[in-house]
Amino acid sequence: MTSDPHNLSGAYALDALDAAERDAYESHLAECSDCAEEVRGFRATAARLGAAEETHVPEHLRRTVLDAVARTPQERPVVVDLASHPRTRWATRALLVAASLALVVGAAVFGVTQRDRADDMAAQQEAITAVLSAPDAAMVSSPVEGGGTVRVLQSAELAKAVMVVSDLPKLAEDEDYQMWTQSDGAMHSAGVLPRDEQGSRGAHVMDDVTGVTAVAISIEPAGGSEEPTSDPIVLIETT
Amino acid sequence: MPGPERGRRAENDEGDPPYEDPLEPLMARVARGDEQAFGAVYDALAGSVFGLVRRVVRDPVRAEEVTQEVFLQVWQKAPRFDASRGRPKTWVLTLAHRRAVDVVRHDQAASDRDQRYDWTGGPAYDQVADEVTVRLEHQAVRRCLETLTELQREAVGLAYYQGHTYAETASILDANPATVKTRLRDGLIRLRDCLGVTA
Repeated sequence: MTSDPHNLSGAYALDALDAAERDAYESHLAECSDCAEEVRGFRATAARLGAAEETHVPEHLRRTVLDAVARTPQERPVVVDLASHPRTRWATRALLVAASLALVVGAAVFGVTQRDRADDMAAQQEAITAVLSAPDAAMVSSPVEGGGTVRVLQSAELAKAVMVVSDLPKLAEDEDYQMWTQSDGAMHSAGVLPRDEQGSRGAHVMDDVTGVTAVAISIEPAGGSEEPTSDPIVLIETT
Repeated sequence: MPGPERGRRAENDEGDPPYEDPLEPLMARVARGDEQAFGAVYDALAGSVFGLVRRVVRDPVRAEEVTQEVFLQVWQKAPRFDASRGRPKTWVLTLAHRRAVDVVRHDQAASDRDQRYDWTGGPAYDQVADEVTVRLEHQAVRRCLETLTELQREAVGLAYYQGHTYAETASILDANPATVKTRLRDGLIRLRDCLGVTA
């Protein structure tokens, strides 16, 4: 019943098509920008009909929903098309890694956008995409002493790593988180974590990790130190 | 979507750009995994979602389950929400409607549902937190529904509030399916223009 697809916009927007027609109409929509525009307006109109039904919600539902949310991962944003990558014996593993990381990387990239660091963002996004798509991409995750999580996504082939920090507790004004790479048994500064990533998320690309055996974060006096002055709160061995 | 949100219409009237839906920055935070922002989105939209879902599925207990599923979907899909393609409230209510419709279509009890849509129903105003806003919105929608032809109004109501396909709607109204298809579209055009929807 798709002889005149233009006419289906109303029924589509009201969810009044059966599954087969819905699928057919959606493929039509992809090619018909006028139809897509009309459907957008119809959806917004239908939402007004829905919103007019607003009513009191049982109190207990909020807790139930938020508890479920706390246990539920989000879908990955569209960052990179892994399916187009050549298949290797690593591909499946890379795909799994990508799936598990996509949320956090996507979130981190978004965080960068929010801070208007446009150049950084473009470069970071490119690097993250490259590492994500690498056939040997591997991810290590570690909780951080004191709270938060650090994930390291790395590709030995590209000699690149991305460190993703999430929810590190906010520090006092006179302290900063400092990132380190370890090679030849010594720690080398990889920069101070921007303060606006405290309690939030951020992604940091490490461009040349050849010879790096671990990455770490320590709490240092504001502005950072030449070498760590305290034990790391997290240390992740790289491969 | 211009909704009951305060200030939205005034901005449009003054020709200002369609900005700023307070839900947009919140959705951006939800997309980053911010559960607190999600709580705020829930507070803003739970009344509409639950009201709509209950209208469609009818059973309040089932409506609670569906509402929970919808908000979980909102959380999961938030990283893919594209603000350039519509407002957050439209997106969430679209998810809610589709889910509610899926539920009634798979529900055997659906056959017991009323065969004609009853326009006299509506939300329980006395329990609504922002009663005046909701009442105004409900009146605006009802007023605009009054401008439709009877067939348009019946068809839109059966499809939207009862989750019937247009073919089922045609059968209930004893009308030609092709006609119902057209009436749904005509009716939405008229409603869209009457409500001043710009999205």
